[in-house]
Amino acid sequence: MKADTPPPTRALVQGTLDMLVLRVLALQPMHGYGVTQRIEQVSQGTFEVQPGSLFPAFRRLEREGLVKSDWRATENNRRAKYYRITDSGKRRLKAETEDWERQTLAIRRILAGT
Amino acid sequence: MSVTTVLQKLRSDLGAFFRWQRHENDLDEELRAYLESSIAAHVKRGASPDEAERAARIGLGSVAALKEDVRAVGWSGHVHMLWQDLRFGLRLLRRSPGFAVPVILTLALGIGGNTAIFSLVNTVFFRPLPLSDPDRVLRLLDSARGPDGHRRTFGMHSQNVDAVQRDGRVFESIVSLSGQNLTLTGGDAPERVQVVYRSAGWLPTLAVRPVVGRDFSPDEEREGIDSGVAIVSYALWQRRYGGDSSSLGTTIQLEDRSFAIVGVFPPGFSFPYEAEVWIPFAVDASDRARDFAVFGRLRKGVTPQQAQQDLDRLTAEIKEQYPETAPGYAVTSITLRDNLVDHQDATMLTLLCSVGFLLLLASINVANLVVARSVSRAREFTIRAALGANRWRQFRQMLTETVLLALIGGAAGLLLAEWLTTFLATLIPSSIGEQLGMANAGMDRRVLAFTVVVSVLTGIVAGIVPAFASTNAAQSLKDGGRSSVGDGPASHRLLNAFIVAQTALAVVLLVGAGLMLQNFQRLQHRALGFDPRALLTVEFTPAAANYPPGTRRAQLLHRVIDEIERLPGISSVGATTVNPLGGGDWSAPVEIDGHPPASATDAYTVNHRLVSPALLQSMRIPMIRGRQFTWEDDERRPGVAIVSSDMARRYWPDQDPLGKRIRIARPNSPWLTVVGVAGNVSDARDPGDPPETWYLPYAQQASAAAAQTVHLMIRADADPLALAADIKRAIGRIDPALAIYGVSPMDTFFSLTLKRERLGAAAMGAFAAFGLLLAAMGVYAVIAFAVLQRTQEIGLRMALGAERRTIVGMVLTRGLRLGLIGLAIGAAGAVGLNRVLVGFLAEITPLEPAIILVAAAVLLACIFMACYVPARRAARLDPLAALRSE
Repeated sequence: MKADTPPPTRALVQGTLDMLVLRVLALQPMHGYGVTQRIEQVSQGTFEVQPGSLFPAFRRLEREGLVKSDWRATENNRRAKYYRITDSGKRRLKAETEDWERQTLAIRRILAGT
Repeated sequence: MSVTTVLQKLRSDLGAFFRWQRHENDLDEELRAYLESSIAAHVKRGASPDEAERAARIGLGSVAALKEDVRAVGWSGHVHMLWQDLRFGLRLLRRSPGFAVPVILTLALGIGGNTAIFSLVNTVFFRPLPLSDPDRVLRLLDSARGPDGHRRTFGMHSQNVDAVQRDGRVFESIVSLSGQNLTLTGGDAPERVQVVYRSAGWLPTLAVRPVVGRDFSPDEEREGIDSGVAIVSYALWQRRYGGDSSSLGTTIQLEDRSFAIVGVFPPGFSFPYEAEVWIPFAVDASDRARDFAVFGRLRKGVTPQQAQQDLDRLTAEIKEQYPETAPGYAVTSITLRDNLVDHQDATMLTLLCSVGFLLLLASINVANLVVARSVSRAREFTIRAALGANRWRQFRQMLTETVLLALIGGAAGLLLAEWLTTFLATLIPSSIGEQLGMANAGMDRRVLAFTVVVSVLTGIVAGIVPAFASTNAAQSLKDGGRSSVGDGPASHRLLNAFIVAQTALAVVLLVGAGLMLQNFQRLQHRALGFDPRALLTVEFTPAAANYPPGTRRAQLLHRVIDEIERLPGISSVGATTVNPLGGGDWSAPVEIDGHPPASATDAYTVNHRLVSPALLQSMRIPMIRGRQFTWEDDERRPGVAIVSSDMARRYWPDQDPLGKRIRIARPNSPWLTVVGVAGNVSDARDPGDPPETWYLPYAQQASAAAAQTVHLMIRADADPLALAADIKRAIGRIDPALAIYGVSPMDTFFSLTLKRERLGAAAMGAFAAFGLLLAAMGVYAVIAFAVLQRTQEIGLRMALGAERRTIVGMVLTRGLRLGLIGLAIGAAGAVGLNRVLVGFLAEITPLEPAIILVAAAVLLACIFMACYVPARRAARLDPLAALRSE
């Protein structure tokens, strides 16, 4: 590699995937592909979610009782597993969002201060 | 983390675990849906169906890796992966029995040996004593400091027993026990039984209750012997009454007294002194005739150290109350387990170390085989790596396989150990084994846990290096490298290291075996100080009723000896109160005339033996100076003594001991004149036994407490056992009611005393032989493998004109060079280990160079053979066929 500046990252900031998935699901229940599309779309292509990270994240969230899933028909009338956020998922999302905002604000201040 | 979250996770994991298949199907279907949606999206953007599918599949990535990542969330997935690894491993092993069977056998022997030795160690050192809360039980002893500063301990005298029973503040309860051999009459034949006189306090202190019948009542304990009741051992009950519970209340006759049986103790219980009958006893402070084994149960929360402090206070009070007490006297205490177990036991520790080394050797051997086998599996690993199995997963798969092998080996080893321990039970010191009914080194949870842990560790040790080596190779192959396992310098170095390690371990084992064998031979050929061959011993005890202590006892002994001496084939007959190989002991504190009484010497102890005139002659103990005893040396004549040469040297270092005066260190005890010096007899079995001995005439001491059991020492011209019947008849002519027992040649006693050492040496020899075999097999496998790998090279060399001899030399050199390195490391290790052990174990002797040389020679011969066979095979290769081989 001989690029002087690294290419703009499309990977997620470590540890934020769960929060983003919860955020997307907070709008409406959605299946796996829908979640990846939505994240890409909303981030305007900045973030790309790999299925290899997404499905373990679903399993993790489900295990902690933050999301629940059931099989439904898709808009194209196919069967797909839809995930929806639970009440404790909503509480977690709120907490993590506040946390995140506090931190990013702090980081922004530090970066601006130097 | 809150409780609800934990519960939620647990519920989810359990669901995933028990509905595993459904979860897997769900995931498959979900991924299919994802793919379909993705394809549809690509088509919508204008791609052709083929392009769309291709793009979608690339987008999805490795499905196998993704699924593993999903499964890795929570523990249920890990358990399932482990299960899969196990099933895969089992399938693989079943397909290659040529690999699995030798590996399992090797591990079974290695783990089985460890389990067997550990179960012995467990019994002796860890297993709870079968008493309730045994750690609170202390044994109290009289002790005296000798001139060498060494403190020697004895059973307690009645006056001191009385003092501690009245004033043992730190003890909840105290029991005092005194043993005596008595003749049990009635029934078919009289027999000798060990009787224990038992003071009050048994139940609260030791808490062992009869399993049949009842314990003594407080009234009976107060009355003592006169209560006329007894508890018998389970063995005696079975032997004489067939275990019939209606025998309770029956009377047994012990010499001049009879006792009603009121209870039976649990099977195997014979504490202390291998007792068979227990009788209530009231301790009388003025009684000089016996000493007591005193046990106290500490009050809750009192440590043994605190107890000893209180005993020091008590010592001072005893000295105040009895001014004649020797200055070096003290009441000491040790825990019950310390009383029964010799923590310095070298046999047990050496064996434990050795089986450990053996197992390490076995593990390396297995690692060896695993590496060799992974060559043939290189393709499998590479394919798995290419399919996206990550390195860790592959590493774990290999490790699972060896751990699986080790667990199977461990299960087989457990069976082996169960069988081995029945042979090895002799290695348990008899005091703990026989008296508390712990002779069987049974399997308990601790042994099982040990075996499982050792098996898993063995599997990891055997598998970790090969697993690293082959996953590295497979990964590098995937990355475009060309090396594979078993080929290339890294794995050659690995196999070389195996050879070195195996030889080194084998040397340590061989040297250890040599040391044990040497120790055994030293004991076998030690200077006993007497000649045990053609010497018969017969035991009898004059019943107190017919032969009260005093002249009548001496007369009986004289008549018995005269009667036996008249028999043909017998050259001389002696009598002593202690059989030097019989395990019994009797010692006495002595005082030397002329030494100031304040000197600590006045409480020095020596072995105390009452003997007949011809004893030294019949046992062939050399008379160094002075005269023997005669029957004239009786109670009417001035007291005389013969001392051993060790004793003479210690007490009169630069003087003539003859004519010197000496006596038992007790007020008013009469002075004795030394009339002779005899050779030393080696009869010290315990490190604490005094090395010095004095002999006093039985006839002169016939009123003393020691003048009880008599061991006749009968010197025969030929086979002494052939005379046994004549001897019994001769004794019967003097008194038909006299019970004799323990008829046995002294050399039988001698070999019995070495039973434990002999078995230890044999076990060690077996370990070393097995270790040697493993090392030879390991070297052979590596060298044969190397020859196989180099077939083409060897063919080429031969085609270019190399002679067969050169080829043989080339192969041999490699093996022998590595063997020699291992030999040097092993020898250095053995010397170092020996140095360390000599430092803290009295029984271990320093290594002699001869042992190392012999071990090295044996090992080198084995390595040579292990290399020579593949070397010759290499030399016999047909060059053309070898060149073509792939």
